[in-house]
Amino acid sequence: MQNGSDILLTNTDSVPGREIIRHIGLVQGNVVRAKHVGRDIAAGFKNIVGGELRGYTELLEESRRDAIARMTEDARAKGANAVINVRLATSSVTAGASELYAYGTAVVLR
Amino acid sequence: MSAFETVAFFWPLIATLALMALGLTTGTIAARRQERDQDAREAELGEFVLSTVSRAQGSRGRLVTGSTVVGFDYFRRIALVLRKLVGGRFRMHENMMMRARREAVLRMAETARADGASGVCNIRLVSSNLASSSSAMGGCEVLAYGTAVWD
Repeated sequence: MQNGSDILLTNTDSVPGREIIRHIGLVQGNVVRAKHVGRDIAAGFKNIVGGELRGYTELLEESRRDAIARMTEDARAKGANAVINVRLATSSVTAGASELYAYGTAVVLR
Repeated sequence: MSAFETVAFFWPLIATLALMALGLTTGTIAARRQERDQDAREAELGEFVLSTVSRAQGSRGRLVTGSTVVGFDYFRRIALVLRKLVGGRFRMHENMMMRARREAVLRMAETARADGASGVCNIRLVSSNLASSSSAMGGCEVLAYGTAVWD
């Protein structure tokens, strides 16, 4: 997931083929997204017949991309060119709203 | 009581049973179809390396993700309510979650492979409950992510 940006992301603590020359520190990004009624109705029907709730999958994918983009912006602002050890988490803040959270360590690679 | 009144009286029960039967049928068919689909896709992946080991080797790497949200059908939801009375394992939901994890991993692996990667390392799997305002709805999200590596 690169968001068309020049910041490299990995969830390992090193980057294959590259050398870390400076650690910058924690960078993070989050998005809290509520579902909307249209998708809830479609999901309500799916809750009778079962199966994947595609509307929600897409919604969460979009939101996660935004959370990662915010984290990437944070890293860029701090002068990094990569974020390593990225972790992704989801939590339900309240009924009907989810928080997508991405965090990692900003570094400078050679 | 006339036949009409009998039907009217038992209507909520009839409707519930009908929805349960619908849920059981469609849910089971969807599960079988998904399993066949996943078997085929896993065979297609072949030698593609999937690893939870954190050491990344290769010439380059980047983050890849795959996710899915599953909903439980009407039959399984009612069955779970009944199951909660006595407690214990709930195999139908176990299977459903494992299918969802397979799906998430497959989507992640397919994304990486489409970009020419040779494998994905440091795979992490996380799941979360999508609670809804009405307890009857909602689903469960499964996310797989890792670092795709190139030889």
